Amino acid sequence: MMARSFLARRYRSDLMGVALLAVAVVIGGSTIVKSYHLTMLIYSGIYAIAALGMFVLFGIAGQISIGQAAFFGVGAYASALAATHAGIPPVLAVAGSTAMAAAFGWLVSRPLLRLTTNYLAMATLAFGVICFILFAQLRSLTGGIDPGIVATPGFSVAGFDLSSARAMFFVVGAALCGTILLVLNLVHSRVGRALRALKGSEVATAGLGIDVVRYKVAAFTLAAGLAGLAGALFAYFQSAFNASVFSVGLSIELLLMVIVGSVSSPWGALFGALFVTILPTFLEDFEQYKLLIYGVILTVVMIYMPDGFGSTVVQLGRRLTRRTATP
Amino acid sequence: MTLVVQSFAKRYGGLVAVDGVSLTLAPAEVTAIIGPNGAGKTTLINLMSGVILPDGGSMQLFGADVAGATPHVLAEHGLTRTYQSPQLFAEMSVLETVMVGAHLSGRAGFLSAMLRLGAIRREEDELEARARAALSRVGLPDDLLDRNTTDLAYGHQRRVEIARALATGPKVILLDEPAAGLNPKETHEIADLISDLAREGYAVGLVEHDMDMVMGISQHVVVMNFGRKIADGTVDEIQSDPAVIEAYLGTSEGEAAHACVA
Amino acid sequence: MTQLLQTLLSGLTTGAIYGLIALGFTIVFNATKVTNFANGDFVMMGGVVCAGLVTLAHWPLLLAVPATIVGVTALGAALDVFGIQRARRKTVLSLAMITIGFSVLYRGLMQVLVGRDVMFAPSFGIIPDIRTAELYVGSQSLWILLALGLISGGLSYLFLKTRLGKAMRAASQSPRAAALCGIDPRLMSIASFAMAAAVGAIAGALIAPIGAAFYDYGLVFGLKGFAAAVLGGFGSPVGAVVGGLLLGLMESISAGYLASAYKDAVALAILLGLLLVWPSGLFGRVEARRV
Repeated sequence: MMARSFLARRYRSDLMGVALLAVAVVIGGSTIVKSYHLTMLIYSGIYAIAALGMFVLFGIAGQISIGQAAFFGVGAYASALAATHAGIPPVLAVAGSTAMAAAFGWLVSRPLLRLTTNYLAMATLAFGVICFILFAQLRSLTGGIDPGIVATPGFSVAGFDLSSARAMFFVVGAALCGTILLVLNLVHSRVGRALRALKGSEVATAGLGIDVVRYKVAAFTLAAGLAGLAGALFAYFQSAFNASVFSVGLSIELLLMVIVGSVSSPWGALFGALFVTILPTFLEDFEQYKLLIYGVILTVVMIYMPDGFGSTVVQLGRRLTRRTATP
Repeated sequence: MTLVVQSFAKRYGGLVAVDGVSLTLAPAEVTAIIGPNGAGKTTLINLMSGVILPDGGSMQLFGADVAGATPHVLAEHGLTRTYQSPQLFAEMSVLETVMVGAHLSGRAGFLSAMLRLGAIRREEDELEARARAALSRVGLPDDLLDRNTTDLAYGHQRRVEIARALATGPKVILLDEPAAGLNPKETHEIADLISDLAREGYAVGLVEHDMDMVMGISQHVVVMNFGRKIADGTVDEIQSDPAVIEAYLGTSEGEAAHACVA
Repeated sequence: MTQLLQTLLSGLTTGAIYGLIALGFTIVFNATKVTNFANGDFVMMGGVVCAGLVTLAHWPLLLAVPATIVGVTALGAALDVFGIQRARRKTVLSLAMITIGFSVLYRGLMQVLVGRDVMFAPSFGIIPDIRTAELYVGSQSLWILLALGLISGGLSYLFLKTRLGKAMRAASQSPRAAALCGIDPRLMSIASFAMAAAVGAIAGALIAPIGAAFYDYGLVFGLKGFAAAVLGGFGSPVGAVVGGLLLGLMESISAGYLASAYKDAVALAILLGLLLVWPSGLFGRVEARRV
């Protein structure tokens, strides 16, 4: 057998990345003092998990969805309701909500994925708005916009209370490390290659014996599941929330995170989630200018850097180092 | 016979693109499909590879009825193809691109891939070995394997596409104008490669405009004009067939124009 | 019976607005093959700018409406000049993503310039209400129906009779051939976005007195207009108008049976159903393709 190649090397360096992330979570969790900083990082981590799902769907498989907020909402409501009314232990509730969001995603993906590009974008957008209307109107279940979900009990594992910001930081950090490991494994596998291939050319991919529809459906399901996982963690951390969280705005933010990061590397989703979450802290009166800023970023990146901002920077760097390496 | 096509038909509105064409592909033979521009060759190869659905006719692959089967099912049955303009995957290295071709010889699903369960590493090694074998079979230099396919020279892209097709482990390979856009030297090399593949036992279907190449390497030639098959036979039989000469003389200017575009 | 007639009439009014939005999608798509996700925001801006000029800046309506149309048309042309034309990658999806970016940008711009309040613009007046014993048709509704008639008539004259219109149709059918004939495809592209924006601005200024104006309304306008366009057959101008009126009728009829909060969901469910089951719509060409 031949020595394993650059592919094994790339996989190893990604694994190193996960290890570094885990170390950063441990160090951050034990040294960060201000709870405000912890909170911002927790939100970044939660959104990063959903953005990783978006990365699988949009970045790897090239299928757009502007309705991910629906699955985020399903995850959040399912775990909040399971915790408040059914008294289900949090870990089980999170797992169950993830599965429920994934199942919902699987169900709607079969018809939706018969559509491509513009029609798929428009259909997922319409789907997202319909779900938002349902979240806001099914008040007996969700509490609607007002009062919404009032108090989800804090997160705990086997009776240990983990509801403090510091404890949640570790919980979300662990979930994020696990998620990115799974996504990296996927990228560096037969399945991940098939998904990247179908983004490049569906016809050619099918011609190699790959059931394109099945793979697209699976990618959509995974993306929905990860959005659901993020939603469940969100519900436990935020405790009180209402339907307005799960509007189209959230779907666009998730898309923005992937585009700001990279459409070709899962690390971009982490960077994008961090960027989009902490951006408001740099600007006073951010709420007023939020949409304008998001709009400018989305537009500029899509016009000049269609592979994502992060990717373009990395590509530029690579080109420069290659040029200096081979004079 | 490996592949038997019987009276395939395809209409687009009022236009009959393919009109009752029958042909067979045999193992260890290059079967060329030629004809003037617009004769329906590309439509025929698209029908044979399942990219478009026939309006009528049947197709048997090793005795199994596969008319109307999707491309991925045909690939599972051992039929694969290349494209007139290479359909490579953007942002993917050469090695990985050909590993996608080897997809069918792996079994990892979504969950086992994500959890990287037990046998995945070995399977990845096998897929990589298979891809490397296919790449060295088509003579692609080793130092190109980590490059993005879309950064390669055109001649190399054609080879990658053939390697990707070979990696599926096919018995039938359909090549849609493999020499288009190549210089004479590269054309010569691709022709050698194709006749070697036939000698190894593959059934090769070849749509091509380069007549020197077609006449040099084909055992069997099918000539189309206006969607119909007008001749079918060995190179010698075709070259002396009056209907063929008529068809080609009648449109020689069109052919020349096409050549300059290609 | 009169109840039903009244329902149908109000359906036609909103349907006329949907028809105008659908025309915007159609004009841009036919000239450029771009699906403009910011199309609904042209309507939103028409309402918000007009209402803002009247209520905040105290402009007379007679001045505010033309100013709104000019302003929104310029913003629409900007989407083409600074967005579509400069795109590094011109795939269907990345161009659509650029229009999504502009949609967010327009919303942000309106929020900053005009504010986050729901606003009402004054009715246009002049045309009297029609009021009989059984029926009531408001003056603004008559304006809207009149506008739909004039605009669709004007557009069909433009596309069938004028040089610009013919050039736009030619450019959409074969961009290369049109370019060889000296038609600048970039000009056609700008013209189409500007026209869609102008039509949207008029629709927005017309509906604002009835339906209110708000920076976040563009999304629903866009989705409903798109639904109307698909219902009529995407790309068909006649289909856009017919689809819009039909969608308005269906929406107002269903409103009798459903809580008003679900009104928007009806049109969206119709859109989803159409896309999945009947994507060719009424006047559309069936595109058979296999994936």
